[in-house]
Amino acid sequence: MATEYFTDTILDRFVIPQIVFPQDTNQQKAALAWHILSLKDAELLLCGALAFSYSGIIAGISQNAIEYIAKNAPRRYRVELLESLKKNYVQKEVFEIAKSMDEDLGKNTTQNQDRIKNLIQYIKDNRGAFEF
Amino acid sequence: MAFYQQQDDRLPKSPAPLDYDLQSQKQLVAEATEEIKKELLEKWQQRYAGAQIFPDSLSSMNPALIDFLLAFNNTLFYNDLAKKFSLTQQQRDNLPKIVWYVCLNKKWEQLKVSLINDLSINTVATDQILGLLEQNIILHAKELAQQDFVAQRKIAGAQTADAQKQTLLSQPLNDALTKTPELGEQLITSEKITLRNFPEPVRPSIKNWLADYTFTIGYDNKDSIKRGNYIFHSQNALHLSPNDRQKLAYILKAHDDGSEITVNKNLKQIVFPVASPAPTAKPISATTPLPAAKPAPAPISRPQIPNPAYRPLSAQPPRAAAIPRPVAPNRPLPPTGPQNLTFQKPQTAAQPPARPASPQGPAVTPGNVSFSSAQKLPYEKIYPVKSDEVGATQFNRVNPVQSLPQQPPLEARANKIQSATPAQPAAQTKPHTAGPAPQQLPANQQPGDVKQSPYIIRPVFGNTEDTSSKKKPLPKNVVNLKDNFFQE
Repeated sequence: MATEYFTDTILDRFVIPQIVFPQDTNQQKAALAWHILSLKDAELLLCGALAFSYSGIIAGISQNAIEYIAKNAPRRYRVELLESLKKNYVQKEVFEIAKSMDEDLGKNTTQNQDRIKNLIQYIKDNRGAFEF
Repeated sequence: MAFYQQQDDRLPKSPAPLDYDLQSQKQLVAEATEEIKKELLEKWQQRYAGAQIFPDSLSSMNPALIDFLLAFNNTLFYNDLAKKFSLTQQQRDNLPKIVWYVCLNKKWEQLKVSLINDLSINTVATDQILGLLEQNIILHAKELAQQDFVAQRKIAGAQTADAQKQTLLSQPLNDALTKTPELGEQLITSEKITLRNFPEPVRPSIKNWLADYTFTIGYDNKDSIKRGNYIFHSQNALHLSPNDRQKLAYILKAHDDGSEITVNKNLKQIVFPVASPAPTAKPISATTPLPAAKPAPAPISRPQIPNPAYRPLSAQPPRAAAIPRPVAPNRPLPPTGPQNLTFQKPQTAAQPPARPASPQGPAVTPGNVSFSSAQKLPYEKIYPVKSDEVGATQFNRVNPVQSLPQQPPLEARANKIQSATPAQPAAQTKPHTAGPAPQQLPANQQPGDVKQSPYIIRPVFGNTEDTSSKKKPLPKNVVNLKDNFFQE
């Protein structure tokens, strides 16, 4: 019973992190972003294309992960990510989450906000590979 | 202070918060996580095996070149250029566009012109940017673009085929398991299995399956029948899918016979032979001649169970009008249409003849559904039909198609009763009892004077009124509650 519970929990964290993690506040979204940031490149794709419309998940994409997505993710993932980032309010929310992540780190760091800036810039630079 | 003292007193009584090995639990969770991750990744790769990754517009480019251009370092490089030459955001965004355009169309000479036109900066800065771009991106991109990537793909395919041949190795199962213990962990079926010495189900790995097999059958089994019985009838193998069962059979055969299996050295996995499609039943085409119709089997005569409540018809006086000629069982029946199988409402106008009753069971009558069983449904039970002659009964089987005994309409019957017994007290009438219509009494005859026939218990069925059973006059000290009740 307990084994099944743990198995399901682990499975859900990979497959539907946007459901497992509550996202009512920026702090909760930041928790989801930290989880996504901790995943390896291929593991990020396990959550499905629709997950890339959630700002909490976009905020957790690392530089290596976005490169992996650009090189290996199927069309649906790229389209979903690009369409999400085209929306201004999503971009704003992603930056707020990154700011919240930096606040978690303390020391007035802006590394997560810089990461998000670079992420968006990377998608802009390689728009030809994201637009179908 | 007293509160804390009380709390301290309670602490030893409560169970220790960490009465288990945290490290081992963590390790278990980590192992489970890795296993789930591996399975999910395999499934993901299977699902998106043929998915489109790059847009069609990039199909003419060498994938290696695309990968090179998609490197994240390029973005950082453009950022550095923008900082170094104080480019605006617009100018900085134009740099990757130019690079992509040049690489895609292989217009290397147009790079300088595009930079001058799009950046609109001084020539010196343009030359420096051009030099840096060529040094870091364009030179390598040129190399990649000039490679015949189609031929490269072929070479790569041939290489992978050779590599596959080199990585595949044939050896006996027991040797393979000894040399590569990881093979034993390979899953061959989808659901967990139960081992006798373990309380919980275990992974359906080769090792566990072999443990269960050797525990059940023995180590040195050479009997394929025993193996087949295990594969098909053992508790763990009962619910296997055909594909899984085939894999299990392959492993067990290799285990018993010592035959060689194919092992992928790199993946450390056993390569199962491609499952042959299961033989399916050949569909009958329209042109396939049907086999000749077999003669209908002779009706099975069941021994009749003696029913004490049943009076055989032979013991009763026959009635020629009610008993039709029985149909011989071997006589071909007339074609029956679908209407013969539908239940119709009983018609009062035409009353079909009663079904023949034979001591060997009900005979088949055209147009009626019959059953050979001696057991009868409630609606099949025998009930007496009152004939015109008082005392002569005819047993009939209720037939859904057959109508009920013919009766006049309800109003006519009511009138008849009213006219027949105008002055009789209501207590002596019996409107709700079953049986034929009440007999008319002579005017000078009292109900109590009627010659009473022996009392016969008749099953209540239909709406026929009973005339034969006349009421006995009750003693004076007895009140007829029943009739008074009905009268109200």
